[in-house]
Amino acid sequence: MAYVGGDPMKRHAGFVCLVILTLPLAMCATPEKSGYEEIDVGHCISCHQERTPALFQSWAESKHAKKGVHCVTCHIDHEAAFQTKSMVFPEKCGECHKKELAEFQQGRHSLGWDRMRVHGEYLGIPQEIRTAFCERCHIVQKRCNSCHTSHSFSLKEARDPESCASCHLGPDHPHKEMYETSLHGIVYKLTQDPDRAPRCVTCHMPGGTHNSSFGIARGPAGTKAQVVDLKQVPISKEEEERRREEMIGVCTGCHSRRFAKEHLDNADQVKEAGFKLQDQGMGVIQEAAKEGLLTPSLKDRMPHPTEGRTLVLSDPQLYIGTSYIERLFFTMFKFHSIRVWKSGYHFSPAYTHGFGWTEMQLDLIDIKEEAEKLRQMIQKQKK
Amino acid sequence: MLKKLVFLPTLLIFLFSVPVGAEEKIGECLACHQKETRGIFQAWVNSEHAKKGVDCITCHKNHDEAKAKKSAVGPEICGKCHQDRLRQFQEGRHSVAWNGMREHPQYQALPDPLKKAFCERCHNVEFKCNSCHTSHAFKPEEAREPESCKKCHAGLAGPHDEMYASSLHGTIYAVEKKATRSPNCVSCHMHKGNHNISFGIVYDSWGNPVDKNGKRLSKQDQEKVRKPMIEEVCYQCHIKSLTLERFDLADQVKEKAQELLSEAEQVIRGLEREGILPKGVVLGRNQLYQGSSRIEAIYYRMSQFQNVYTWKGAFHFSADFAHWYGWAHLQMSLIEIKEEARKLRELSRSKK
Repeated sequence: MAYVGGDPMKRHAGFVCLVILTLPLAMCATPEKSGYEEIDVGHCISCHQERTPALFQSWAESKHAKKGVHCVTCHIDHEAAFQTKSMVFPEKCGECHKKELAEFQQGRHSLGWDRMRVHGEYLGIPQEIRTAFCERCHIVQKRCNSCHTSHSFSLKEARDPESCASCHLGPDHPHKEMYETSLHGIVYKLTQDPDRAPRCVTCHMPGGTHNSSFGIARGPAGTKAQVVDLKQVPISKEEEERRREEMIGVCTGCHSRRFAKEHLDNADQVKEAGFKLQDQGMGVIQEAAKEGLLTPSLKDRMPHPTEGRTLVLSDPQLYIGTSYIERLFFTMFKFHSIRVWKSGYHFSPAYTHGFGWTEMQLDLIDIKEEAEKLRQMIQKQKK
Repeated sequence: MLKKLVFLPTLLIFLFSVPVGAEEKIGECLACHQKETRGIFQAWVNSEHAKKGVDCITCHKNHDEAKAKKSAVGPEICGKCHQDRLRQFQEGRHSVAWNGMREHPQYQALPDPLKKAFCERCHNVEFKCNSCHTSHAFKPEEAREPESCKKCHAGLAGPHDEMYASSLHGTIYAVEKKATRSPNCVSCHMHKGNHNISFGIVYDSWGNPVDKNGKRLSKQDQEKVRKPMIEEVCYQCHIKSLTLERFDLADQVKEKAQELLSEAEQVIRGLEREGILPKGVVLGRNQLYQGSSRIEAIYYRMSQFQNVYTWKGAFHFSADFAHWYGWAHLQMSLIEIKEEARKLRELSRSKK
């Protein structure tokens, strides 16, 4: 059955009952100093239970409704809501959820939008369609309802791996797929019991912290070896160790400290090996560039939006308008290298080995072969 | 044991109370089929059909006739009771799936046993209500689950399931399992049980704005088709301005992807003109994935896979499909096509 079925009269009767039940509660619980007294929430509801009934219904069933947090509390008034396309920013949610907002601002989710805006890949996409691609996820900086979706804002939902999976999946960072093919993910899928096996939030938001960068000692953004802080400054060795210990604190819920450390340290080594392989691919291309083998040459192509007319290999390399050998490397670093090391930390052999390491080795063969072909072509041209 | 206890009285009730066709007795079917095809029989016993007295004979007529058709029951038979559903079904593209397939050169190029194992398994939806309402339970609850659509609408050629699953709609539905909270496939495509699965859809599988019979839709017609989906479905949760903006955006994504495809096509047509590729290269809709040059094969992936991921991903609001599986791969393929063209030209020059 689609959305709202059944007899429309009965349906409305249900809504009216809900409104009658929740309205007085909502009115009484509105904070006195809010300044929203002039706006009657009944005013919103009189239209929106008709115009956006399912949205209204999820609010009516939400904890917010029970506690008297209603349309006006977050959206202020119709005019203000209209101007922001009904968006409600984290600062607004933070008026009640202070601790969560403070934690959120310590993590990399709170930079999602700003970092995207200056990224070459983003700038390389036609402006009109960026919203359909990057912005849909990177907006997390401005939307608590990326994870706590409107208008239920359900905790059960936000804690489910599915909730993270609307962004954390796919070629560029298959976190969902890695997790699902790890023993952690499999046991959780079978038991649906977070005490039995961890899900995303168990490790990345332990104790409900909203600092999603908790415990991440090796990173960030997945394409550089070094971890940086929110200001993009590399963190110290001591800070790395402190974060690692933080994460080990989660693992010791089930594993011995020694075991956990050993596995994370092993993942560090996997990561290093992956980056070495990546460097080999990079070396071949740098050599080819020196010999003038790249077509189009750096002079003959659109300059990189942030790096100018330089050879950009690995982040923020573009997938647009480069030579074919660079495009081969793009796949190697952006899709395959990331599988190797991130799956190392997510304990998915299928991803770290099969989809990662194996593919990287095959990429390297392709890159070397392509360089050789380009060399032969030039030699023939000279003859 | 418990099942048997329930089953025996049910069986007895049927043997004595169900209206039976003049010549055939349902008992005759049951005598064998409760043993020989136990799973199917059990599914029927538990079905709504069984409760309402719709039995073997109602749909299969008699043993000989059933045998001749390998027990297939066409939509027209189901439509004797489900008249509205049949009429709606016939308005949608599911009802022309078989014919569309038969006309396609890729189908014609496949050996018979492969046709059966590949294309026909899904395209027979034209003849089989039980593609979605599987035999012999015919449960609406099952048919309404995204899993049910997934059997055909998944994978390289049309990863609708994967697009939906990676959209916010799909992720919320996966947790809440409540179509009032977040739409599943049928919320949008079979609104209120409408069996016209082309409801609200402007484009065919190839991205052309046409109706079921291939007739081109004018801009106004397109708006007319889209309007009921927007108003009756999207507005359940979303405000007007945002909804219209999203559809507009998806249309623009589709257009931009088409530009990349055209650029790639121009490269290949150039080679054709220069005599590097033979004349009459077929690209796009009727293109085959076999026996062509490598550069055409790269284009095949662009047009049949990556382009579809981009625009259909945008209409399903999956950033992951629209961008990473789609757009990024289209761009990378374009690089590859240009390089391949360069090498082919180089090769042809050195031969001279």
